[in-house]
Amino acid sequence: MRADLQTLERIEAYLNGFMTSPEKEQFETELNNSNDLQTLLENQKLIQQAVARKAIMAQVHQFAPATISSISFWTKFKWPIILSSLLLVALVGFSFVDMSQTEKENNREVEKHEVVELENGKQEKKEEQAIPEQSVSTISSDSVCETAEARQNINSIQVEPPVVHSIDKGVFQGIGLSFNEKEIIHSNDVGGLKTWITPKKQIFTINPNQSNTIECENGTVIIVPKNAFCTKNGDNITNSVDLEIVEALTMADMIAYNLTTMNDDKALKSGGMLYIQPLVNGEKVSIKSDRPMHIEVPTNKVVPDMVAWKGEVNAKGDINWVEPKNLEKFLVPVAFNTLDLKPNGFSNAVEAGLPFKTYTKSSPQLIDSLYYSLSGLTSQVSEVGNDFSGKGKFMPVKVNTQLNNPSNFKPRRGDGSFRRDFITVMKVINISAQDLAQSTIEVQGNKEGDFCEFYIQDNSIYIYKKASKNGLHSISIQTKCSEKEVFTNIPITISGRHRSGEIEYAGPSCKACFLDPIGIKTVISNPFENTFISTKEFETRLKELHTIPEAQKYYNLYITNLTKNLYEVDQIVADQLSDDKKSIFQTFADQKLTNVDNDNINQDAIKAYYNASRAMYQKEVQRTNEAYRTANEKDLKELQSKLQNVETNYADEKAVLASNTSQKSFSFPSISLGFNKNISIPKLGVSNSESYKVAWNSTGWMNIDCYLHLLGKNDVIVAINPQEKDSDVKVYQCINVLKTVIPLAEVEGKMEAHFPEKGKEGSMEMKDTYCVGIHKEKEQLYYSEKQYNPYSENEIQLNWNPVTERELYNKLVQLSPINDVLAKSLKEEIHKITLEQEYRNEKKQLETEIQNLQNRIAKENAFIQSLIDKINPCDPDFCDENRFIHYEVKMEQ
Amino acid sequence: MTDRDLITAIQKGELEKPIQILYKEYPKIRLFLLKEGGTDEVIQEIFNDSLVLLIEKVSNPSFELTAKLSTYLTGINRFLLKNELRKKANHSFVSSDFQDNQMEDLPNFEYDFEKEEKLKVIDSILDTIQEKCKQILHFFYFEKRSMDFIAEKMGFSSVQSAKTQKYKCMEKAHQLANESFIHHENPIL
Repeated sequence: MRADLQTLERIEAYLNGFMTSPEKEQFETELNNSNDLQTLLENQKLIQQAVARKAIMAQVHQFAPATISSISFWTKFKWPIILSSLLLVALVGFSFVDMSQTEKENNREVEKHEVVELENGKQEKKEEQAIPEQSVSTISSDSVCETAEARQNINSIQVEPPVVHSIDKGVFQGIGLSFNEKEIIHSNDVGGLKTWITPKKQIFTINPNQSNTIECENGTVIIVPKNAFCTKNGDNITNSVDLEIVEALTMADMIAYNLTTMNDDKALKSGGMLYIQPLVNGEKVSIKSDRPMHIEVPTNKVVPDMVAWKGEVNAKGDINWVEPKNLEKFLVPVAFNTLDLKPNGFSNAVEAGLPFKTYTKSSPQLIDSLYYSLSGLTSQVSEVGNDFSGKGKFMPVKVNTQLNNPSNFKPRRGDGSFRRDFITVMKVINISAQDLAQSTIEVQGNKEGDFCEFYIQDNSIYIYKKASKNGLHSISIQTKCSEKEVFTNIPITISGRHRSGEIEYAGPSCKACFLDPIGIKTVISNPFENTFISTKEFETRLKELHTIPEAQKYYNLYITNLTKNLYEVDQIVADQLSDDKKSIFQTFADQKLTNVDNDNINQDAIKAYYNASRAMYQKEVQRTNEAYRTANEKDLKELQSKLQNVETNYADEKAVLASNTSQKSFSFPSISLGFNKNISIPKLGVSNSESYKVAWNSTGWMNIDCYLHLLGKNDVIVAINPQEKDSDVKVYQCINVLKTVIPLAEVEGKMEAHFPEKGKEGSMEMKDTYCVGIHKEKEQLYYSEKQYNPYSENEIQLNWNPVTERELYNKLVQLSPINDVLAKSLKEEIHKITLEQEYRNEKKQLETEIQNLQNRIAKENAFIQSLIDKINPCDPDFCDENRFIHYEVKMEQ
Repeated sequence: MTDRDLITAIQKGELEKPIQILYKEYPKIRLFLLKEGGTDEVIQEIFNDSLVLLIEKVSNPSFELTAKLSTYLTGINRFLLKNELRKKANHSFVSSDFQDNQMEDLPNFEYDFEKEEKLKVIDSILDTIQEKCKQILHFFYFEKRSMDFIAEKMGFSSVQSAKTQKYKCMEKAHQLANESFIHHENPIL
């Protein structure tokens, strides 16, 4: 089919309604008669639709909102600051000079976010914190001195030569918005400060009814919460607010703007200065004290001990920095997807284990989903608010009086005989000796087919669970009450892990070893977005927690103490730890990091949410794992049943064949032998017709007719002498033209075969013919075969050989397709062989598939195990699934 | 914007606002689909596909609104996810039992599996044709521009040569489509 241009043009015209009625009719007629045209039309429709879809998709991509990308603001070399009151000039991170020593000491803390809060007059001054004042002079950097001198020349008002050290190496490259030079220089536009050059003022118009994130030209980020502005009277401002901002982050800026770095007569080192002024219709407005802005000023290097100062402009237009605020170590929440809360090495383990199922490439989504999927396999979830010791729930044990003495208790079949393919699981039961003596405990799997068995021996209770073959299994163990129990609710402590699907319930030696991925998945969600959980600092702590056995309880301490300062929780954790782990968390605590923004964190609500989601996620994970397991099992079962089907079918078919063969191959399915009871065709004499005066007989009337019409008065007759008079002899003549054999009737001890007159129609084919004779004597078969030319011989003798049934059949088969029925038998034989071959192939293939699947499952299990190993800080032998674990039942005397 | 406004805008071909507004459903639908076994990657893709499907449906002047657009969108997404999971089921396990009742909450929604497969094939074919062809086809079939416009816009010497070019592009597309479909239906060939 060729889509020539003309045809396409017509199709298009038709589709788009550009055809006149006659044209349309004509086209439709053609359409009805041409499949090719129909296909073309269909394809044309599809192409048009696809083009349109492509265009829509392009717009979807174009107009879809960009994903949140504010993360980049929070790189570690930026300093966050909170502004809560209207400032003329805010400057960030002034600290006193000569910090070189401190810097070195604090290099390891570079990652820390230094946060400064400036609250005008609200908090006490903390000058005593550190004012090395005149040590300023010890700064020896040439450039600093030069700069200082240069600035001194410019600003003669300064009493002391200010030594300023900018730690920001950035070059001033502000582009700035346009503004009126005159107005700015001589007015109070930058808080009354007399500047040398026109400040590069940036103006952002924002809607105060929503929160705004502003990124300034030199990298300063300002986050304004909603409803942050008020008039002098304290009225909330809803009209749009213009935010004037001047960044002075470099020495050049500072000098140009006459921003000296003096605190009275002491020199300061600046980390950057910022001027912020909100305006409504040109009128200054205030920032609410409870709705502080969040400001980050970029810096290349974090210097600890930076302090925030408030700028005061004196009458001369110079600035002095007052009201230093000690650093409050604030935390900055970041987007969860920027944090890696998984154990170190997990991602690598995933990559190493690929391909897994259909995954060949590692992706964050895959890594996450694998990690979270381990929840159901790894640990039991304990409720927040419990003591987090890893203990599970108490379960009632039912007691009856069946057993008098534990030592009399003998494992019986069904009661828990110990077998190799049983995994031992264990419960520790606190039970009195008397109770124990009277106990029976029933344990049930949660699934049909699961079963647990147990027995009590030597004061221990052994509970077995049958392991499933693919190693993925889950089970819950319950105890049942008998109706006439004497004691109820005897507590059993169950704790332990699922490992590779098998659960081990064990006592103290198989503890909750690792952080529950569910717990981590749960916190990565809204309610925790603004807590210290979503901070880099917590990430650091979590990485440590992952390496600590039984970390769940420490982790839970963080989760449950969201309103506390981070260092307080660090301290609690440090107090509970020992050795090097203790020192790590002590170091954390010493950092005195506080908390995130003062947002009201609804602790109870979050806690409730946490518990609920954990439960939900766990269910989800269990369901998924179950599905996974079931899927594997299902695949296996399917393959196995396929195999079984193939085997059964083969067996059936073979049986049918065999029965056919036993009838046909040995008793001549195609040729009736007269002496066979099952013979139905052909019957001798059935078609004996006087009018033709022939002794030929056959079942195929049509065929006979065909043949007989060849015969005439001058038939060639060959006499066939069987030379066997006593026994039951049958002779069959092959009729070449008909490709059939016909039994010959006996006439006076001889058979006569008739052939067409020589030279007549059909005679050519008869030249090389043969007859076959069979007779049976005393259960012995005899066979004879004679090839002859009826036109050269008029009598033939048959010689007999004894044969077995099989040999006889083979001989007949070898006669070549002289007979359709024989051929059919042959075909059946071939079919049988083919069938067997097919069966073998199919069986082999299925077996290979099963093997592959089993290998795959084993590989996947090994992979999952490798992941578990990554997140499990406990000794792998700790919960060795093959180990026979048992615990003493505590006897209360 | 009400649903009615959205539909009017879509039917006028003004897609920016509708896409932005419909995209607000994304977080909700994402959570929903995550629970049903989707991964973020798949969900994002499905969501975009669903927008295209929805816009395509709504663009039809005879479209009748029987449910809220957001409900409709959610329905399409669920359906697409299940379809996706079902497709994958041959290769890996599906985490939930697949129930075939997803069409219930999708009145007027027809999904011709075979056709969608073909459209996908053509979509990838369209990626392979010449840039010039893409533009012509876009102008002509999506923006419904005249050949005069296209000739001028794309600098053809005459309308006729633009037309010829367009048909050649289509011929190529047809040829590729044909080969793909034949190949698709008879992998042995």
